[in-house]
Amino acid sequence: MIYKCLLFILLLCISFCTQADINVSPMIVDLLGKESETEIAVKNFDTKTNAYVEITPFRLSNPADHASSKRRVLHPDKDGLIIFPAKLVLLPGQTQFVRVIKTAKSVAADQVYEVDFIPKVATHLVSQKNPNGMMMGIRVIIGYGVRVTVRPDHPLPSLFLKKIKNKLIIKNTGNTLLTITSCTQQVSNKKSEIPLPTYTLFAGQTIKKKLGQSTPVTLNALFMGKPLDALYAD
Amino acid sequence: MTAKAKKCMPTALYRNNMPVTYFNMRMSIVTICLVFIPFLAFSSYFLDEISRLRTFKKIKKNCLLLFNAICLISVNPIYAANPSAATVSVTVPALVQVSGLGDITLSPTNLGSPATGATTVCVYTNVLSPLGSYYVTATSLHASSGLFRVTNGTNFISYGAFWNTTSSSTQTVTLTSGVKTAQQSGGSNTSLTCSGSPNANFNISFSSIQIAGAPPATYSDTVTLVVSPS
Amino acid sequence: MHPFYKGIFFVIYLLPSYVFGATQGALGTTSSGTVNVSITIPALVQISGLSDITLGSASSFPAIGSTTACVYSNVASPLGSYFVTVTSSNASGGNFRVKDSGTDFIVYSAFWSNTITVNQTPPSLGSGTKTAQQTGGSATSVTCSPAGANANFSVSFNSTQVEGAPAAAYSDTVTILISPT
Repeated sequence: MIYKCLLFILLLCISFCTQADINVSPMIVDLLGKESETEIAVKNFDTKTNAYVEITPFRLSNPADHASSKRRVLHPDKDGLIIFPAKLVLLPGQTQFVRVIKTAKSVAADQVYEVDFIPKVATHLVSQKNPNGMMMGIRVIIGYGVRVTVRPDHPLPSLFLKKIKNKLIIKNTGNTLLTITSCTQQVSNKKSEIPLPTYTLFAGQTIKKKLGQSTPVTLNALFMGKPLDALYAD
Repeated sequence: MTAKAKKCMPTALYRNNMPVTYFNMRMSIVTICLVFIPFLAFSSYFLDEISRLRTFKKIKKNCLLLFNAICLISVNPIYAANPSAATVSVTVPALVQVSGLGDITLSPTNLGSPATGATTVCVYTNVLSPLGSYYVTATSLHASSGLFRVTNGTNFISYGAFWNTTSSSTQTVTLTSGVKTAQQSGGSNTSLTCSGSPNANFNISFSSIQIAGAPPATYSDTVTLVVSPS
Repeated sequence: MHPFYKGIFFVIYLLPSYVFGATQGALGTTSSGTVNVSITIPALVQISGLSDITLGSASSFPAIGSTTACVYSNVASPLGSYFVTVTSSNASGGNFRVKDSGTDFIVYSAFWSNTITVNQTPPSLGSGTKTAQQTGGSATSVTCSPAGANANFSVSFNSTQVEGAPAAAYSDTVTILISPT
C-alpha cells in the first residue's frame, strides 16, 4: 500500500517534470511594401526533448486596448497575412524559421496582428485516486505572441501634441504606428523625462498625462526606426 | 688648309687637324639634310592634302608617322654610334598584401549567448626573417579607448576583435583598436592569393551582456586592417 | 564582346565591392583592407525560469503554490514592459480549473506579479484575458542578473472552491503567453 502511494506520488512528480522551453525572435515585426515577408526564428532550448509548437495568427481589432478582442486569421486572402508552417517540430536545441507573408493587396492604415507561438505538451494524468486526500499540480507552459504590423501602402506618420495647463495630450493623427523615444519638460533648468503610460502609439491612439509643471514640453518619436521632427508644446 | 686661311679663321679648337667649326658645320649640314629634306617632302604632301580637302584624321595619322620616322632617324645615328654593356640593378623592399576580406553580418536570435562572426584573410609577405612574418593593426571607426564599437547613430555596443594566424576563427590574438600586434607568422611568401587557401582569420564576438542591454536596431562599424612587415 | 558591354560588366562586377563590401589591400610596404561589421539586435521579450507548481496533498487552505520567473524585454515602450495572457487548458467562463482523470473540476485563482514575491491582491487573472501592461522586466540581462527573477506566477485554492470535490489527483496545464503588445 505504501509502495503504491509512493509510486503514485512519483508518477505525479514525473508527469510534471517535462517542460517545453522555446525562444522566439524577433518579437516585433514590420511588413512594409508589396509582397513583403519576413522570418521569425523559433528555438528549442531543451537539450533532451522535442518541442511541438503551434503557430496561430490573430488580428487585433484595437491594438491600443489590451482588453480588446483578437480574431483568428482563417482566410489569408481576406485577412491580409499568412503564416507558414502552422506547426513545428523542433529537435532538442534546434532552431527553425516561420515565414510571415503579407497577402493584403491594399492597406490604408496599419493592420496589427499577434502571432502566437505555443508549445503543445501532453498532460499525463494519473488515474489512481489518492486515499490520502487531494493532490493538485499545475503544469506551466510558456508561449510567445509576436506583434506583426502590416504598414500602409503610403505611410503618413503624424503626431499631435498639446498642453492645456498641466494636462498633456499626445495623439497619433497619422495612419501608422509610432514609437515615442522621449518626452521631456524643463524643470529647474534641467530636462526632465516625463514617464508616459505607453511609448507605442498606434494610429488614432491618444494618451493623456497629468504634468507636475506647466513648463514647455518636447516630444521625440520614431517611425520604423527613423526620427521624426521634434514636437514642442508651450 | 693654308696658313693664310687659318689666320682668317676664328680661333677654335682643332680635331683631326680640322677646325671644330668645320667639323660642326659638316654635322650641321648632315642634320639639316636629315631633318629638312623630310620636312620639305612632308610640307609638299601636306599642302596637297589640304588642297584635296582630306580629313583631319588622315593628316594627324600622317603627322604621327612622320614624327616617328624623324625620331627613328634622329635617334639611330646618335645611340648606335657607341653601343656598350650596362649594369641593371633593382632593390625589392619588404612587401605585404592583405586580401580575401569579407564583411561580417550578425543577426542573433538568442540574446543569451555570445554572437560571433569571422572572415578569413589572405596575407602575403616577402619578409624573410622570419619567413612569412608580418604585423597587424586593426582600427575600429567608432573606437573608444581601444575598444571596438558598433553604433546605430545613437547608441554604441562594444565587441571583442581577434586575429588568428590560420583560417579557423579562433580567438588567438586579442586586438586593441589602433594598436599593432606582436609579430605574426604564417603569411604566404610565394603567392599573392595564398594559392586559394586563406592563411589568417579576423573574428569578432559580442557578449550576451553587451547585446542584451542594447535597444533593438542595426548597429555597424568599419574595421581597417593594416598589415605591415615591421 | 562589344567593348561597351565589357565596360558595363566591369562596372557591375567591381562596383558592389567598392561601394558596399569589404575592400582589399594592395601590394606595398604596408597593405590596408577594410571589413564592414554589422549586428541586428531584434526586439525581444523572453521569459524563463518558470517551473511547474505541485501542491501535493492539500489539507489546509488556502493552498498556495507559486513559481518565479525572469522576464527580459528590450522593447522600449517603456523599457522592460510586456503583456501577459494566462490560459487554463480546462478553462470555463474565464475561470481556471484543474481536472481529475474523470469529469471532476476544481476552480482556482491565478495571479501574476511583476516582482519576485507572491502577490495575490485581487483581481485575479481571467483565463485567456490579457493583463494590463506590466513593467519591471529586465532590459539588460536575459538571466535577470543578479536577482535571477523579476516576476511571479501563483495559484490559490480556497476551501470553498475545493468543497465537494472528490479526493483525487487534479491537474491543469497553464499557458503563459508573453507579448510586447
